[in-house]
Amino acid sequence: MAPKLSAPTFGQKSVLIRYVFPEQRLAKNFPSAAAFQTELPTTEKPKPYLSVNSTEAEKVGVIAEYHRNLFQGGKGRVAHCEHTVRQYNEAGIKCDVDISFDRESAKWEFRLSATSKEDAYRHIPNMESDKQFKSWSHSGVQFVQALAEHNKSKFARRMVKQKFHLR
Amino acid sequence: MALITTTHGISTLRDFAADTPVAASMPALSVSSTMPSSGTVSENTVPVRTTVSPRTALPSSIGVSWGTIIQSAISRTLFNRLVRLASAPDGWHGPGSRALRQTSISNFLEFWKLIRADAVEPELALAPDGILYAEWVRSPNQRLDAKFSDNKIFYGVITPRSVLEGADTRDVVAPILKSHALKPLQWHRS
Repeated sequence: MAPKLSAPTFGQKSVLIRYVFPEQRLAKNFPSAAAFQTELPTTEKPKPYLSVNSTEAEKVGVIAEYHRNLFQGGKGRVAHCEHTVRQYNEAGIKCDVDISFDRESAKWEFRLSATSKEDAYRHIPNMESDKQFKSWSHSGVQFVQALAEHNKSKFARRMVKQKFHLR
Repeated sequence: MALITTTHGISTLRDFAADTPVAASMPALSVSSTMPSSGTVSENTVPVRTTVSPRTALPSSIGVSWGTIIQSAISRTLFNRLVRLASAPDGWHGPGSRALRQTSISNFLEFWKLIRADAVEPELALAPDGILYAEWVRSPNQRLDAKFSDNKIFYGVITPRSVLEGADTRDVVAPILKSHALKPLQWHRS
């Protein structure tokens, strides 16, 4: 019987891994700010989020293998940026996103409009049977939806102060 | 096949062609579209005769920008990176991601022409929405990045003691960055 997998809780110290594409890798293992921009909205993904993987849910090695298979044909070393939920929150707040912790639900929330709050982080496992490569730890940083256009660059700038890890 | 005899710009083209993997795929150039104006040609420039063959593998966004690329006199290294980024197709970063926009390339190259006398070449990267980034990095805490949307540049200079951020047209941004006290356009990692 397969072990039961735990879902991430996105506590302040939880670590989120962001895969860095070769097109976004600079010299000496520095990530480009482009690595923290989102795709454009599509019908399947009308509200783009930052794809990350939580180390609460899977080990780093498993996440690296997933990225290697999904993006690199199973070859080479993958580049990972690691940040805590606290670091994501701090960068978002500096860029005018209203992020707060809801004690009742024990979740981080962000304000998308005057009347609505949504989860700042969401567990979005890629486990569908039709998918060749699966990832239980896949999650989304949702609050980037609230970034104004000029703040998207500001946010990305604040996420690239560390080198990426090669695995 | 086009036979080109010219000066400044084509000597750059010859440099590219020497050992660039994509050089064989450069499009044919007409003399009229690539000749620099007489005012831009250095008296010291040696005329070069070269032949360029039309091929099809070059990304269309590069082909369309060819005249500007020649005029901008970017290095082979920077050109190779630009071609690599332009080779990423729609969807390269997952659903909703876009290939490098030609308008973003143009905005960058025109900006580069304004600053190149005061700058080292930046590193280039591609955002999922098809926009080009140029970055000058001295250290993790000292960086300048510029994001080239169709008609604006979103820029930021971060140091341990200060942050300068803004968005404007290249004609406004270029003098701001050129006159910055810390000379961020000359930042690069040794």
